[in-house]
Amino acid sequence: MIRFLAALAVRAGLLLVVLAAVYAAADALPGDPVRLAMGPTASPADVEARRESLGLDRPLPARFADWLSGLVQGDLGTTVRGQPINDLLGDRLASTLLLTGLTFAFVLVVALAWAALWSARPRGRFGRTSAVGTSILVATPEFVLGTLLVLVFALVLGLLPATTVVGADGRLATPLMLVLPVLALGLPHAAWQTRVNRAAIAEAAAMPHVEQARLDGVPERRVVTRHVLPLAAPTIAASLATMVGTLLAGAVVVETLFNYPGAGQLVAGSLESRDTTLLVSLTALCGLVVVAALVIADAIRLWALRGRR
Amino acid sequence: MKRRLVPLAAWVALVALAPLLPITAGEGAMPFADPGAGHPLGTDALGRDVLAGAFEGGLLLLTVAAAIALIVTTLSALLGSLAALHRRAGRAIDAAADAFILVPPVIGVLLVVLAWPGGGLPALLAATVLFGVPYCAKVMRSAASAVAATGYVEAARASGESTARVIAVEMLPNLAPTLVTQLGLRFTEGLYVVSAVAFLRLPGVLDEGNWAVMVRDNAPGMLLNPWAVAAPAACLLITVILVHTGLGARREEP
Repeated sequence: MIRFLAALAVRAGLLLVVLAAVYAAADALPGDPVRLAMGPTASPADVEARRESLGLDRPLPARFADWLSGLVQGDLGTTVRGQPINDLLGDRLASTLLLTGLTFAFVLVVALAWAALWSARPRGRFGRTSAVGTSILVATPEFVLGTLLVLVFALVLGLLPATTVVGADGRLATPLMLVLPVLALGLPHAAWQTRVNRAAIAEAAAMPHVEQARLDGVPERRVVTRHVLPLAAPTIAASLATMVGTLLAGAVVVETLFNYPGAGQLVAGSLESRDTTLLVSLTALCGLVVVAALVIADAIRLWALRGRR
Repeated sequence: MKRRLVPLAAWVALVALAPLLPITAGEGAMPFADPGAGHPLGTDALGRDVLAGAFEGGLLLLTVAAAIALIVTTLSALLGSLAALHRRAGRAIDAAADAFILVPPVIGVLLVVLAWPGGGLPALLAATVLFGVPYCAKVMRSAASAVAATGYVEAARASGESTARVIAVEMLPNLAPTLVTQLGLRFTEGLYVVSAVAFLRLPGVLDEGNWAVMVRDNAPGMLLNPWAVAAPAACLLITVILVHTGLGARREEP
C-alpha cells in the first residue's frame, strides 16, 4: 500500500509538472491566442479589451493557479472566444470515451489472443506472418488504414457505413457506424500490443521456476495461469496504460476521418480557429486520463509482484 | 542486407524524380471525374489530375520524416551514451521519458505548432524532435550501457580520456547496428506524426500538395472517384512497407 501511494505521488507530481510545462509553453511561444482568434482585422483596443475580459492580462502564475483550481473542480476554463469549454465538450467527451473504450477492449482481447497463438507456434507460418504483419500494421497511420477500410468495406463490399450519421437525439444512427472507426484506430495499436504481449510471455516462460514447474509435471494450463501470466502482467499492463495516450491522439485523426462527433473533432476544430487555450485544456484532459491509466498499471504491477521481491 | 534496400531505394528515387515528369496537374477540369483520357486516375476535388498529385505529394513529406529521423537518432545516441557513462544523466532521461508519456506526440506537436504561428516547418521539426528524443534516448541508453561496461571503454576512461572523446571514438562506432534500426524506426514514427499533422491540416504547415492532405481533401468525393483517396493512401502504405523490408524497421520495437 505504501509503495502504491508512493507511486501515486510520483505520478501526480509528474502530471503537475507536465501541466505547468504545457501551460507555460503555450504562453511563452510567440503566438498571441487572442490576436490569432480575432484575426488581423481586429483593432489593438478590441484585442486588449478581450484579453482583459478573459483575465489574460494577469501574470502567468496567477493565471495558471486559477486554471488549475478550475481543472480540479472539473471546470476546463473558457476558449479565447469566451465560450465555456465544458459546454463545448458536452456529449462529445462521452462519445470519445465510447470510441476509445471500445477500441481499448478490442486491443486487449485481440492482442492477448493473437500473442497466445503466436507464442504457441513461434516458428510456424502463423508466427512468421505475424512478425511481418504486426510490424507493418504498427507503422500504418490510422487515417491511411481507415481510408483503405472504407474503400473495401463501404465502397466495394457495401457492408458498413463510410461515415458517421447522428440522429436527432444526438446518438449514432446505428452501432455499425462504430465498426470501421474502432478497426482503424484499434488494428495498429493491437499489432503493437501483440508484439509487447508476445515478448513479455516469452520472457516469463524462460524463467527458471517456470521450467521447474513444467518438469515437476504441473499441467500446462496451470503453468500458464499461475506462473507465466502473473509475471507477464506488469509489462502488459504498463504497455496498455501508455497506449491510452496514443489512442486518444489517434482518436483525433479517426474522428476527423469518419466525421465522428467526439472531443477529437474539437481538437481538430481548435486548429482551424487557432484556439490555443482550448487545445491546452484538452491536452490537460488527455494527460489526466493517461495518468489514471498509469496508476492502474502501477497497482497491477505491485499486485502481481506481491511477495516476489 | 544490400539487396533488401533495392526496392526502398527505387521507391525513394521515384518519389524524388516524379515531380520532374512532364505531367501537369492542370486545373479547370470537372472535379472527381472518372479515370479516362488525359487523367489515368481521374481528377480530385479541384479538378486536378490525381496521378500528377500523387507524383508530387511525397517528396516533402519523406524529406521532413528523414530529417526528423536523422536528428532524433543522432541526438538520442549522444544523450544515451552520456547517460550510460553518467548515472545522473540517465535519471534525467528516465524522468523526461516518464513525463513525455503524458502528452502523446501528435497532440504535443499540434500544440507547439499552433502556439507558434509563423513557425512553419522549423517549428514542426523542433516539436517532433522534442517529443521523439526522450523515448529514443532511453532505448539508446540501454544499448550504450552494454558498450560502457566493456573493458576498452573503462580503460579509456581510466586513462583520462574526455567524455566527448570516449563517446565519439569508443562508443558510437559500436552502436552502429542499433543506430541503423533506430533510424528506420524514427523515420516511420516521424512520417506518422508529420502525416497526422498534415491530415489534421494545421494552417501554414504542410497544408497543401502532399499525400496526407490529398486523402483529407478528397475524402468527400470518395464515391465519385475512389482513386483520389486510394492513390495517396496507397503511396503512404507502400512507403511504410518498403521502409520495413529495407531497414527492418517498425514504428517501435518492443
